[in-house]
Amino acid sequence: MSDVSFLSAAEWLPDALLLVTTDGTIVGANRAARELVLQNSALVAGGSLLSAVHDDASVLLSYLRDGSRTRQPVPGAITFTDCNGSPCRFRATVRTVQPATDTSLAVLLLQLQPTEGASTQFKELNDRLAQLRAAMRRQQEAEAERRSLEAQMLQTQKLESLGVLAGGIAHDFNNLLTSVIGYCDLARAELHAKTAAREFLDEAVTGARRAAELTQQMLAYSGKGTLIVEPVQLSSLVSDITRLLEVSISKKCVLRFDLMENLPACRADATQLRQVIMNLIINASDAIGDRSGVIAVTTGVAWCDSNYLAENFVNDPLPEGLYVHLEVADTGSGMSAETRARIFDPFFTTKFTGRGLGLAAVLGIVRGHNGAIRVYSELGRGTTFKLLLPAEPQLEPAAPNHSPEPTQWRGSGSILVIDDEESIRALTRHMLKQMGFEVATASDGREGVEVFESMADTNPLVLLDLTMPHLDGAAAFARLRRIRPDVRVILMSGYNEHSISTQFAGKGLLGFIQKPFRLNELRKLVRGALQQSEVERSVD
Amino acid sequence: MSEHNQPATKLAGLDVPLERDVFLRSMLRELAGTLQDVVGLDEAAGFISVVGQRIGDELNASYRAALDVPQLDAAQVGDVLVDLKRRINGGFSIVEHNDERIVFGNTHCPFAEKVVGRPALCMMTSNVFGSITADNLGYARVVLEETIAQGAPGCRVVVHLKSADGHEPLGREYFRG
Repeated sequence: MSDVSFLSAAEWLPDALLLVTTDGTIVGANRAARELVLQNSALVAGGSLLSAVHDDASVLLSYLRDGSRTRQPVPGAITFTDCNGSPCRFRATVRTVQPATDTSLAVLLLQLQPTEGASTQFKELNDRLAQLRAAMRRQQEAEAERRSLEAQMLQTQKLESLGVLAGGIAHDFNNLLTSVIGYCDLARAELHAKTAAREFLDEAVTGARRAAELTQQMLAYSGKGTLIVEPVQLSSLVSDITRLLEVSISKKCVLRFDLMENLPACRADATQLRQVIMNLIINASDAIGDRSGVIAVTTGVAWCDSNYLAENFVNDPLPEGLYVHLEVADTGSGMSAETRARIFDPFFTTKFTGRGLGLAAVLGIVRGHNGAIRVYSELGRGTTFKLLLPAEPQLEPAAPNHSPEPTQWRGSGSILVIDDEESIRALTRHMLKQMGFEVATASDGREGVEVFESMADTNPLVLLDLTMPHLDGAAAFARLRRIRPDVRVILMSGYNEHSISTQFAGKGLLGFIQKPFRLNELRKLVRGALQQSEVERSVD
Repeated sequence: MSEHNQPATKLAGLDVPLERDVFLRSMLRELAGTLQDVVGLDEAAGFISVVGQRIGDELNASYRAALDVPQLDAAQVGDVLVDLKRRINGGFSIVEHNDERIVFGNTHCPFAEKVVGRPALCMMTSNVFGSITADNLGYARVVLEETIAQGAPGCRVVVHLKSADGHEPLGREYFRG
């Protein structure tokens, strides 16, 4: 094949190729070379490469001379001037095609690649390394996300399973406690004011109430606790229970308060928040132990961005915004990282007598309030719990209700008690009779509907249990409404009022009472319900 | 101060295989290794060729000046190549020398054990020998028939002095610059 036909073929090669002599004279350049370096074809035939060089021409001549002295490829770099007059650097390889003779200069093959686009093995390796690093990073991120999702799922499953357990306990255990407390109240009401037996009964009720609190903590953890949401001001809430807090901690602990005045309100269940504060304070006191120490309670408000919120223990995604916070900091023993990772697990405790439900309940309550909790702890230095709740500055905190309890109120008329638990039926009948009512009972929803139908003319007030065999509270309520659309029903349950209120919203439910209830609570509710129905009737 | 000098004195007496020559050879070995690993043997050899060619030019000029000749003849070229290797502890000798070729042999390399597995470093020999020979005699084709770098007990380097007839001759060709 002749040189001419070789050059013709080389014209279409993708590599930029030039044939040059050692003095820089261009013998030929393929299309890629013209596009890459020369920018125009005018320079090609007989032109000099030196005119396109941006650097000192002697550098190029030296390089071409080095190339002319061996047939092996000699690597190098050349900087040309592009059509805009800017320097443009190329990686080059030059090799001798035709050595110099006495009468002619050596002809060299010059191969060019732009530095940026040059795919050297080094660049390829770097690119591959970068790809590998990116793939590894993606894999690590995916793995971390998977672990996080697994942890969240585990937590959700834990909550769900404990919720089922707590719900079952609430139903059965609260029925038993309702009987205990209720009969104690009835017995107490029968006794003279100064008999010693009243004190014994009071102690029995106190014990039963503590047992009920334990159930409430489990319900709180599972998110099924009673939730009466109202505007709450954290600083006021803490101030209201200062005395209670002071008597709940070790005598060697000093309580310090730094409560922000005019703190924005948040929407919360005040009773549950009191439980949270009490749990945190008692934990702080236990962490300080027999030594002297300080427990600092602080409230405040801050704007929390998503990054800050994402670092909190509660993993549920929370929106950015204004959050009120409550901090309980102690100078106690602090926690190791292992302990810190498990403190919110139900039944995990480091205390000899602990039940391991206090912080689990705190977490459940915080979740139930769409809040978050942060924990800072250092072994030997102390621990700080920081509770964050969405602030609602437009809300006014609810005024405390100080209306006296109607201890001596008596009613009249008939009331139907529908509950599958014999002890609850009997107790409630006793309580209502003591208030002056005629009481009928039914042991499940189906029987309750039949009894109500037989008494429909008098439209008795109905105390209806939610969870029953055959026909549950919701279905029974629907049937009762079919018999008398103006039926007056008070629901009884160990479950939370929040979920019940959504289930019965707009259906004319007159009230709700959570088991276990006391005589006075039932009296107050029945009285209020009857007064309300009287008002509605007079309006109609 | 003497408390500080005491450890230094002790360290100076320790049997650590480090002195300038070892250090520089180690550095070259690592440089060559890095080049080979990163850009591949061919391209690494190309870079080392450039270095070899430049050093060859300097050595050529030095010998010409020392011998006070404008150009070395064939015998001088052979002697110079052996001598320059001797000076850098290369241990080369002429095995055969005629009009066609000069054959060199050696038992140890200037890079010593540092050359093993670094054939790119052999381009130093090829280019120094090739450039000096071609600059003085007009042409050289260097064939590295055996090398310590590739596991042979010694090197056998053939410098052909006449242009090869074959289309793709063995070895590397060098021309007068």
